[in-house]
Amino acid sequence: METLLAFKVKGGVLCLADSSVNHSIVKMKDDEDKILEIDGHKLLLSAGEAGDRVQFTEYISKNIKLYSLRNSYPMSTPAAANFIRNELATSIRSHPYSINLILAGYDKEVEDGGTSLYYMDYLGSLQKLNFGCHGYASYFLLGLLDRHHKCDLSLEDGINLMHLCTTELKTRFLVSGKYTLKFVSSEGIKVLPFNAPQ
Amino acid sequence: MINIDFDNIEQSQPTLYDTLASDVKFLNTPHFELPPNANPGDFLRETFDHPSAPKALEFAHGTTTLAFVYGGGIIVSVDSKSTQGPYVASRSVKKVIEITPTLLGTMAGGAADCSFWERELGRRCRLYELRNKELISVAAASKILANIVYSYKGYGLSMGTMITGWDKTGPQLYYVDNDGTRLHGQRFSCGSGSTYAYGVLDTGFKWDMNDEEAYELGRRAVYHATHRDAYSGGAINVYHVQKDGWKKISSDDCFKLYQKYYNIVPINKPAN
Repeated sequence: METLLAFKVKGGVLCLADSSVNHSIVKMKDDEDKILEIDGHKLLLSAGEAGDRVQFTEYISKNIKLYSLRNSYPMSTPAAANFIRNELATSIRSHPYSINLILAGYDKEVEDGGTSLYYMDYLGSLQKLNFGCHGYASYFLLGLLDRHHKCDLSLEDGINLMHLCTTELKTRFLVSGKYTLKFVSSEGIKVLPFNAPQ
Repeated sequence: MINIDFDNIEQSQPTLYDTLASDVKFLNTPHFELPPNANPGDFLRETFDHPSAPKALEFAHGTTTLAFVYGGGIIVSVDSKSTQGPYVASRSVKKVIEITPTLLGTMAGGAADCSFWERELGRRCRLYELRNKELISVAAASKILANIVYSYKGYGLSMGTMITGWDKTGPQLYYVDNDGTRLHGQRFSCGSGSTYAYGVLDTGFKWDMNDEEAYELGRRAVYHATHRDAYSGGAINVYHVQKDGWKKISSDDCFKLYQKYYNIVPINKPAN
């Protein structure tokens, strides 16, 4: 029942994740940050099995940090995506991590204006997309985004589109609650205030 | 499926070397012996699926425990009932585990798992203190426990616990459970009665209540859980964590609280 959503706008990527941790019918927490800031220009959105999510994303982010210390330059977002995919794919046969991910980042060497967005699932598949969504929410949002999303949307229009998405979840999706919103661009990572319709 | 004849297992005598070796191994780092197998979890599940395999023991499955942070520190409140199915094994279990003089843990799920691993956590916290000449933070302590239980994920550990204490950063509360979840928060409750306790705790909570109000809220929340949840009961123990460590506040029998809260007078003792 977790929601991850990210799409490209002009100059950056907007990322949204729900912020609740549930155990069977109990909501244990409603302010969990599921958007990990890996370095100054990378966001990793994660959803999946309790325990696995934190363990895997911490393992990934520390290894990417180690890479930047060894090479004295940061890992590019495409390289990070392939590294993460490889970790998921090699662990699937022995100790599978049941987590779905979206990686968003900005590197000035990357074409298409420097922004990149990668969609990954627990089986180890990797797709480069303009917008991506995980969880039941994707049934409601993919159509909406096919209709309304454009890569040259301004940041303001992008935030309005995020509100359109969460409003749709509020009206049609059985479970929806609080969200966190972050933006990655050439200026780094920004945490944006986001009040979903109650 | 692997078939083991559980009725005719030969008991071989261990040699002196075997006992010494296993003692040294266990003294070094506490751990469970695992079957020498690629997938110990699956192996154990399949093997003990056998009709004549010994039954698994489970204790203290029904429980109500809670902890919350407020202006005056942290309150930890728990029941004390231990059940095996319909049988009440004990009404006087200590479900608050005193990990170190500054750290408290709670017990829900398997009693043995909780008391064993929280005692091990206490040992590691003491070692940290000796090595670093300062007390361990609650964040680090709870992460040690979370990493231990995560390494045994899928092997059948059963524990839901709150780790609380006061460190350099102030009062801290973490929730750790057997699937490796570790959450930081202000209010947590755990066990079969937790939903009932949450109902009282969430509605009655105020950040700036005084200590007496806070004790009563913790006591009330668990009391109402013991009233509705058949697997919770016995006595209600309340602890208070402050800057200089934890303090046990009270231990009240549920039935005495019931009489008090509902003004019920025993029939053979008429009211004055």
